Amino acid sequence: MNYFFIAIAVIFIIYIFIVIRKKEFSVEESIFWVFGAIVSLILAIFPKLIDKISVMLNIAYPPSLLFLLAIVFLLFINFRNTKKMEKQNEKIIELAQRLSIMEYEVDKLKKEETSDKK
Amino acid sequence: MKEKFKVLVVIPAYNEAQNIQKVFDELKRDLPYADVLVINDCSKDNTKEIVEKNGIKCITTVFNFRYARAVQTGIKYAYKNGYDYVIQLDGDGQHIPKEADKLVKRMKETNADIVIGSRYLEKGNYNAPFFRKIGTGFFSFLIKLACRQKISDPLSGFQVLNRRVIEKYSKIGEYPEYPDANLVIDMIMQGYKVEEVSIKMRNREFGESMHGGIIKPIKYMLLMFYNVLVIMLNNIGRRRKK
Repeated sequence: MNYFFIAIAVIFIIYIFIVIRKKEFSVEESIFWVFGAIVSLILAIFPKLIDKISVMLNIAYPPSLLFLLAIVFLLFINFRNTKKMEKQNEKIIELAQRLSIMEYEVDKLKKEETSDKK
Repeated sequence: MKEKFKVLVVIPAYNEAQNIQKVFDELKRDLPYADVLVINDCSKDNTKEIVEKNGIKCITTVFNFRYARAVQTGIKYAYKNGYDYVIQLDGDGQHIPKEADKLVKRMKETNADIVIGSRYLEKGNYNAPFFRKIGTGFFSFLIKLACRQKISDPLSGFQVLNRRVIEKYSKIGEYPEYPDANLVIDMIMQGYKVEEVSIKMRNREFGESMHGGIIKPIKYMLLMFYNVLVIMLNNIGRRRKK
């Protein structure tokens, strides 16, 4: 059991819940981070698991399993973020296009209105 | 040529103050039946003033959309306002408005969905820069491979679209950054009829082309090649589903 890593994982989980309560982080978004933190908590409580899984996966040097897990987790989160960003970009452009067209139409209507008054 | 149809000329313009007046003069003279819409893509010069002085419709984008999205904005306007045809024309004076007549005529004769103005169908119409020639040849070959149709100038921005395509383009969420060979292949694979007409084109007088330099064309080629591959895979998937 590694108390230092247990403490880090617990603090991280608490921090995530504080952020959710402040509504700075959505529940949906937090689930992956909580999952990551729980996995590290389990590994910190039962470090022998790392050795067992390494043997199962044919990994000769068990600590490298930790790096592998961390990298896969971060890549997953990164890929998800890129996808989300792309969707948001799309929405922003769609909105901006509509806004540009509407601005033009409003200006045109205003001009017509002023010329009608004259 | 008299028109019963509603035709909109969409001109994306970024810093084209020096070129655009000439385009307007030619449009008024040669395509009097068409409405003209300029998408002023946040130009830093006085493009907007020139457009408005000419009494031409001018949508100024809220931020710089770049070429493809600017064009798409015009197409969305056309869709919203019930236009039957959109003529895509560049604001740099390279495209000759009078040539658009040929494209519209071909569209009516053949019932095509898209008619592309090609610089390469006949020799001597346009002297293209080196990279452009390579790119055009390569993508033309790809289209032939993918669609078994000869499109000699897939990079041409001079096109006429019918209502069906106007609707389709205005609803594409991920409109490509460079809508060239990739879009042509996608449309042909989805069963749209694409035709080509030989046109003359001038060389640019003022300002910079968006495909200038060395890095930009290379980036463009790689991106386009990747784009085409993805589209081909997508369409193979679609066909299997059917």
